[in-house]
Amino acid sequence: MSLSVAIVDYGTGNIASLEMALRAVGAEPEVVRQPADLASADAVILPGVGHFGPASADLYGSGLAQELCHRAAAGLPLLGICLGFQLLTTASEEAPSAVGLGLMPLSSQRLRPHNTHLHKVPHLGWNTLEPASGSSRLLQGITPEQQLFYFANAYAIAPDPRLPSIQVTYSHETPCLALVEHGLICGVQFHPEKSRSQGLQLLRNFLALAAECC
Amino acid sequence: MLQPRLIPVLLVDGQLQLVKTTGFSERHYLGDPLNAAYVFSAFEVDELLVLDIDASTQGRSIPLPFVAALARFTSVPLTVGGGITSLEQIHDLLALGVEKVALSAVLSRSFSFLQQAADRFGSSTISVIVNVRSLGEGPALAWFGRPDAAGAGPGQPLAQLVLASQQAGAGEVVIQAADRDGQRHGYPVAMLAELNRELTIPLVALGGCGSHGHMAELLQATPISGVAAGSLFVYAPGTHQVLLHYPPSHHWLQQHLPALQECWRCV
Repeated sequence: MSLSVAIVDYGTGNIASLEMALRAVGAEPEVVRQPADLASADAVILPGVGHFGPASADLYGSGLAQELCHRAAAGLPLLGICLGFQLLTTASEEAPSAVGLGLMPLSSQRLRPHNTHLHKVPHLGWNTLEPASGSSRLLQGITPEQQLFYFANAYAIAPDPRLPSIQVTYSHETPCLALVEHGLICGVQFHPEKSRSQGLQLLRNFLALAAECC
Repeated sequence: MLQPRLIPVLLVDGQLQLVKTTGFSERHYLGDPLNAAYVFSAFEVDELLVLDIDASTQGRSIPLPFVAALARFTSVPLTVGGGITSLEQIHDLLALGVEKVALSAVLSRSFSFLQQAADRFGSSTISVIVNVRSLGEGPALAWFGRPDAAGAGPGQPLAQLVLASQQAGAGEVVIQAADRDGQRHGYPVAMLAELNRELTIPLVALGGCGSHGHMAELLQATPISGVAAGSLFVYAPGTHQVLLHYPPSHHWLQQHLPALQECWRCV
């Protein structure tokens, strides 16, 4: 039985490349725009590109946010990508009055490096991951040398040592979260769909994780 | 640590043919842009920048069906530009699977469009192309859109235009040296290094690169975010014979990266 993967379309997200990448790893993704469409999903991906404010408004306006929280609490595997990752947290400095889904007790702050000659904002391009403590399911089969991913973010989530989750960071003067595995709620700040074979491997790993749950 | 991006630039004309320009005017036909994009995607380029250089002049935007095909044929991060003037166009382009859109000519008429676009789609998706000419000893002059376009005006001081773009929400600025286009004599290194010191957003150099030596000159002078080139990646070295290549440049950068990163730590 093939896994039913839903990609949430919230207006500004870049859907097409993610669809293509998921097909490349053998999944048949379905783009969903309404809460009812999530009913048959075995796993959900919240893609990224856009602005936290309008994205949050769209997700709550359509009822998708409420449904995602409800299903996530019932054990639905969820992967947020870039802005989609930030939307899984409680809030973002990008839109202080907007709320995230609150599925991870983290929040996004604007990147504010001191050395702006060396560290630009947005953080744009290919960055390496810092060696992970603990074993990440999503990075399985991706060697440390291959852990180079494509990022495009002006806001970032700081790691929280109190959080008992897998946390892998990248460095942009300070360490920021590249990847979180918070139970079945996962988030990546980079774009696996645009990150070569290592990105596809990560998507494959997420699907494998989701397949175990259904 | 974040690595500088090596970015092949593909120019398409009004017939959707792949061309390479010299000095923004003379055009050399190269072939099929989709085929070229496919080849560069197979090379796993850091990013690909595709510009429709006739779109603004013809009062249209880069055709959506073309960008749809481009996105289908590639799996690398894509930036597209040419004649984009509305938020709807940006929305439609991003939905096709494009990471960033490049704005230029529209900003000479309606600078506020930049902020609208950044507010709606996030800075990270908005790239601004600034065309620059350095004439003699005087300061470099800069334009949004072609310097030779009807009503383009006398140009503005480069730093002023770029800092205004940063202020308005640009996610990166591509400085295109119009007078070096297709010349393969090197980048305007001093100008770019000075600009990069002032900017807090990523800077991309375009125009003039003909060799790894030119890349080295630039990267040793400044920790620039993107090194873009046309000729370098579409011609056999030192010729005008079409030969799409990328891996040698990628290897060159990977080899030199540790030393470059060491030298940037002290900037």
